Amino acid sequence: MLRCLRLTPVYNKRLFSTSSTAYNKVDCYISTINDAYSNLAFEEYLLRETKPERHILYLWRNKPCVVVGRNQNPFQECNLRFMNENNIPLVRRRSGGGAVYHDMGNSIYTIFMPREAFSRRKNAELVSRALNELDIPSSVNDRHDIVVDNHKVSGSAYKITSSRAYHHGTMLIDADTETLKGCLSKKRMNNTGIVSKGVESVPSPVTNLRDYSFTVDHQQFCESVLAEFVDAYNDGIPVEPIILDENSPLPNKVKETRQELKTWDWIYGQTPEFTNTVETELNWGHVKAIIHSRHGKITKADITTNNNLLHEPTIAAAISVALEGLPYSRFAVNEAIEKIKLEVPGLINSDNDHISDSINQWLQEKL
Amino acid sequence: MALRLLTSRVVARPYMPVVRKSATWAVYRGYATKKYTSDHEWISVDNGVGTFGVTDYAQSALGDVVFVETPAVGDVVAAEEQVGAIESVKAASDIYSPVSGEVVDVNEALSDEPSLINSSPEDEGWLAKVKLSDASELDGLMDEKAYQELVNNAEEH
Repeated sequence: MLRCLRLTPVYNKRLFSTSSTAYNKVDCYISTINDAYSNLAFEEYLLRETKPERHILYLWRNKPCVVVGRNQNPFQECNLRFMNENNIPLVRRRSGGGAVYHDMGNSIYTIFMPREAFSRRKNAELVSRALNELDIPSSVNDRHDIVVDNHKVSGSAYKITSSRAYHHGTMLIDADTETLKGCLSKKRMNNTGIVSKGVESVPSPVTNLRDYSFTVDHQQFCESVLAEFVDAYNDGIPVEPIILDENSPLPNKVKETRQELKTWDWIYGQTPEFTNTVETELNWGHVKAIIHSRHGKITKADITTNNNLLHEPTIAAAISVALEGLPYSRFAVNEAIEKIKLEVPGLINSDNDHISDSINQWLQEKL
Repeated sequence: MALRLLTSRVVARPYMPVVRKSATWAVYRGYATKKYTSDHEWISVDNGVGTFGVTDYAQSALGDVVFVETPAVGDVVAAEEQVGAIESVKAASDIYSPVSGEVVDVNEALSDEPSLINSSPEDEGWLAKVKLSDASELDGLMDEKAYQELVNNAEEH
């Protein structure tokens, strides 16, 4: 009888009494809050504050944003200029792995399990089966990515604590691939001078499920994954998902984590050490800049030129010194120049400001 | 590689024994203060300062390590508090401090060579050194024999 009910897992049908929830070994949460910071904060809450032995499925999606892994260098991985121009925020998650683009055409699943049960393959296969149930010919490859026709439709990342682990993954249903490429395609960035200690993304050609099914959508995806999930972890007994929406009261811990995820210290300050080396010909000489950065700030800058006159090397050196301690960004040189004007007025004047302007313009493009 | 490890071990031992008898006793004493946590971390204490890292079992479960986040020198840590994370090809895993105290040294080599955790987890892949604030905490940790048992009973990932 219960198996028949499972075939129509529409979650607003109360076909099972509330007493059955006491025997469920699993929980399911679905978020309709489409803010990446809130969703990630709630995910962290589920990881740390729920019972370790419960398997939990969390389904969510975000308004357009780019999410980088815990130890990645966003200056290397994302096209921050493009993102800025298109109002796409940068988010850093707690788990490892590479950079991904999120929008409402991208559904995200997180499966929580006790630490001893951690497995990369098991849940990837579960989600792949859920897609198969929707008539999509997916499979899991060697990197534990879910692929259709050798095109990646889902990327995964994992986090492990002392008692718990989670596997979360994206699912490209109908995402805006042009914007995705704008944000992440290395071909469209000019940051080849960056050498980083962080974790680099492994680029893969991606495709939307929409290319394989006209009807698949977020709702169907959620229902199908939930059905496979209860099969695997709750002996097939369906569970009623708990819906989180804009009006749901969030625990204080969630609000705290959300706040932390928005701070500069986490988003940029968590960036591993890197060096950016660039050179160019400006109209007054050949210039080379080596910028060292740690924790998102510039620790040392070396701007040198082959021009041996007075103004050019002086300005280059002054900017180098002024850059130290400033947050790394394409506006750093601008800030450095303002700093010089404040601290050493007259150093930059109408005779030589063309030099500082040209350095500023050049590095704005490069950083 | 094995030779390099061997020479580093020999150099590191400050109490180079002259008499054979005391040599074996000194060796025993050197290893007697290595303890383990149920999170698969080891800690080796010398003069009130404990060096800790993850065990060989942990590194094998983690897979190839690609990045290590260590605590900072000067951080005050509590036992079982998260003090860093190890990112491997498999996952980002939290690291916990086995004891309470102040971090006095951090293994800088890991930022250039995170793979030290895989190749030498209990020696060159050490994570940090903590000046113990409460040496009695060590009594609550496992000795080598108890840890071996834990590992033998653990399942494969």
